[in-house]
Amino acid sequence: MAFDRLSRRGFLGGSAAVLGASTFAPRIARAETTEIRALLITGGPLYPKYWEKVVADFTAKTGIKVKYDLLEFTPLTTKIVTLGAARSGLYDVFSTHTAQIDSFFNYFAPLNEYFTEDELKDFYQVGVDYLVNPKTKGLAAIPRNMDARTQYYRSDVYAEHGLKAAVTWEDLVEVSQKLTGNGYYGLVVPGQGDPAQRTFSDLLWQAGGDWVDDAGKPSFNAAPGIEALTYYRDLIQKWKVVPPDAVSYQWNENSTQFSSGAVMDTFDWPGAFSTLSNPETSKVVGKWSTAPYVRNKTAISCAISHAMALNSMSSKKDAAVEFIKYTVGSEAQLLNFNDYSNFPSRLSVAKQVVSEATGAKAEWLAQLEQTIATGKEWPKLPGFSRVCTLMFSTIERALSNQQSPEDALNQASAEALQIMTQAGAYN
Amino acid sequence: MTAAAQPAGRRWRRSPLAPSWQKGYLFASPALIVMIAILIYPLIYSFVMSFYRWDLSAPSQYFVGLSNYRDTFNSLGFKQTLRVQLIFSAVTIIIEVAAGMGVAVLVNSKLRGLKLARTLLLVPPMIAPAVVGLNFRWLFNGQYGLVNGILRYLGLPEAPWLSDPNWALVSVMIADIWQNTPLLVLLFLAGLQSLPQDPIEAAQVDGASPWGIFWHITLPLMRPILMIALMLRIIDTFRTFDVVWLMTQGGPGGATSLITVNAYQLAFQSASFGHAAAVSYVALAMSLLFLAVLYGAPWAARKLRRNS
Amino acid sequence: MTDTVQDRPRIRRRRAKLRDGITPGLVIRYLVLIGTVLLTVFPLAWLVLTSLRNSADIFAVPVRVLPEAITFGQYIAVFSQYGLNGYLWNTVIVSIATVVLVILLAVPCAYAMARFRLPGAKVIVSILLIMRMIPVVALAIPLFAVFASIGLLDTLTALVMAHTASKLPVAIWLLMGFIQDLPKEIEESAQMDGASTLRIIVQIVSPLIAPGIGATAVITFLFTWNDLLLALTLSSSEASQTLPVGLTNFVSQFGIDWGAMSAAGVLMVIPTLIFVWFAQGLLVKGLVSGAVRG
Repeated sequence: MAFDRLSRRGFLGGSAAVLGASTFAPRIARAETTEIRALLITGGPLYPKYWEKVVADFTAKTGIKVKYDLLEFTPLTTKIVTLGAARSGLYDVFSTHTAQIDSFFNYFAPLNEYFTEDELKDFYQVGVDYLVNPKTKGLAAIPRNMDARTQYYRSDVYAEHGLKAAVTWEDLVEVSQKLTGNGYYGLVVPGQGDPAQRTFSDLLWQAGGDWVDDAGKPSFNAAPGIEALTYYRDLIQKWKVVPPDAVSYQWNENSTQFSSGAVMDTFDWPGAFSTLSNPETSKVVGKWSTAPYVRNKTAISCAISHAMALNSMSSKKDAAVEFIKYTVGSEAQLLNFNDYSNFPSRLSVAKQVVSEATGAKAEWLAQLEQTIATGKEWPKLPGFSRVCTLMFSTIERALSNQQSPEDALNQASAEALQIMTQAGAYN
Repeated sequence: MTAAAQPAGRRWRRSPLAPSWQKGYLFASPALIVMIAILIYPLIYSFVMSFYRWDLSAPSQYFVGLSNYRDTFNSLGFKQTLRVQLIFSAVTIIIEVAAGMGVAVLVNSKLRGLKLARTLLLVPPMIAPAVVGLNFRWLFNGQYGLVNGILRYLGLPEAPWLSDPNWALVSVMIADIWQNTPLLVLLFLAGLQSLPQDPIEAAQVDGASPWGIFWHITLPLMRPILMIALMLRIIDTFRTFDVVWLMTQGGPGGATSLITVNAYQLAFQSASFGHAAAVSYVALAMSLLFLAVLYGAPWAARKLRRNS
Repeated sequence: MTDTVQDRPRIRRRRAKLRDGITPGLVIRYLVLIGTVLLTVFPLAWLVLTSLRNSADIFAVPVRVLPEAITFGQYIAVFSQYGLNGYLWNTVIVSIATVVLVILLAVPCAYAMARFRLPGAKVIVSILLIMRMIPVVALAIPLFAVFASIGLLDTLTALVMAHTASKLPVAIWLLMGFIQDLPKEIEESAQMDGASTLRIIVQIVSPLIAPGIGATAVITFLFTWNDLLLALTLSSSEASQTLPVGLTNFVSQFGIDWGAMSAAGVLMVIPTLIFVWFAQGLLVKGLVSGAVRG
């Protein structure tokens, strides 16, 4: 227990260490059975059970103990950022994600030496590619499951109104307008932080644009970017088919709006398939269907992944890699899909689950595979992780009508160029 | 005996209660060492780092001079932050001090229940800002919150409390005012009760109006306490973090992004520690600047008057 | 504040009241008093009311002011589902350990600063004041690096050390004031009798400034109990997370469960209410005298 911990470390020992200045050696490793520490992701009420099972199975197989802590997406990133800045060796293994991977290129140990070319071929290429440091070609993390979004809509309400799931941007507005009223909304999108950038990013690609041009210079403020951000803002501010609070929503609030029945349509991750089917977490069980993401000029949206990484400061790299390998192995991926509907990152496992699925699930998986096949991710250039946080507030400002999309994007683009230049993106 | 003549002797020739300074430092040292190790050393470290490139993507830390400060003042986000911070500080300080003084003056008499009221007033300043932030976020919730519920019940238009940039700033200011005004009421009450009553009574006998008494007698007498209240609030508005972080995370679109929130985001979201350190020292510099104005202005005025 | 200062105006005011009876001024004074109290209490009352509702009642539209039925389900849930006892236990340990350390360190330091003419004392005092002004975020960033380098991250020890150091400036400042108010004669005569400085601090000064120590302890306790930022930065696992961090977990991890969040909030506020009720005098004395000496 906590008190135990406190006295074991010892106040005097602790303070003496600090007082003796910060050059002290790291704490002494205990000479018991190998125990590694992992910082893992959670989110939603089901995730903790998954890790409990995976870790227990792993320990039963290898004898290696894993002491793990769970944090939700945003706090997890924050924590890894801090640990990385301090070059901390506290955790051996991290659960990470494509979205912020470039922040950690110098903190995570390259995994190339632990995975052969053949082994890597079993993973979705788009998943692996965006986890590679473009400068050193080092593989910073290995995908555990693929993240891509599909449309989830209230099939019961749609049928009642004689509507079909939207295919294009125009459809989406039209359909959502018909379903908005009496405190209900046709659509929900998140509008804060990373989820806002993710949504804008999908719309940017669908409008035919991209984050940077061939020279790696910011190009998101060109016409497609303005079109995308204007559309995004108008969903909330002009057509008002999205709850006005959406500018403060992250993923959880976004999902909750749909699962509580207040909203008729949303774009969500694979895990939603499972949470929406569970009466404990959903009020709309049996009342929804899936459809492909909407399209505009293109049908591109993100194909990213939850991934596992090795701390370069770890003193138990071999045990840590064993754990990483287990979490991205077929067994763990199958469990992750069967119980939590997280889509496998291994082609072999994906093939298996797709072939076994029937009915609505098979349709959904086909849609998901299609998204992954055309999917992409924002660039992993030096400084881009700082550009991301700049984009959070840029998009929020436009969504909350503080600035026109054009002004917001132009200013952000100028600042992004400066940040990336400073970070050495063009050397 | 001049000080220069006997520097060593001075220290030993003391009254019995002023023994050697070495002994004094012996007693002071445990606390001083702890503060130097855990407080001052890290702060100096981060001050130094505010002149370095210190982030995760740079392989090593290197000196960049004033560049972090220059970037800070050039960045779009910080300009907004500065504006938000100045509005937040000015509005909350003025309202809190004015309301605190007003309430204190009005309830400063033999009122039934004043003792209980004073106990209750102590609660908001003492409860966790984290709880205050979440509670106000709940009160201001658009769909299920009490505030919009009441507005709807009264047939008044609802306000987009946390989703509109301007309303969001109003909302966090309301939470801050709710939490901090009571402390000022208590401070002013204590001050009022230690004022000499004679000038006030004399004025009453002369038939001065209550407003006149307040303006010409009470307020000048309360000046020292007023300065202290202003000082406390200036220091604390530049340190406010928890309430805003839990209500809005600085959003929407940076509309409530105070300097501390900006520093937190730079450090723990952008992993740009050098910039974050620079921003947090800007916060300190600003609060020092405000204090200098607060204390410097009256001093300068006196000096001018004397010279002319 | 002595009684004589307070009594004089009280008697005079009583006379004035007898003379005037119920005046419009008096009515306004009462209205202001009642209004202030209502504004102070209602957000807290809403917190309590929310914590006593079931989830359906919480998401009722239109908002119901009084709960349909009172339930303690949310309080049970925070312990059984959300593991609040761990957070609670950590917070209690960190707060109490911090108070003990702060008092042990601050009393001798404040005594030395108040009674010995230390060279450089003025510098120390101004540094103490500047420490009070520094935003916690400025400290959290480098402190994290320091604790990481000595392998103390994510331990209660690290939290206790961080809090002890950051609460010391205010504690020393407060205690100095209380010691300066003491007449020197008692200490002088004790010293004549051959008492050592340590004995004077422990046996003579400490009992005399007991209210000051009490006020400092209560203020240190509450500010440690309430802290979010240091705990958020220095801890990453349930082994060392405190209640305010637990509260932030409520927000993100489970969508916002307002009922459970309110119940946790109420539990978190309880120690504050206890101190405010039973140690009101100490608290006001600490806050006001600390401020006045500022």
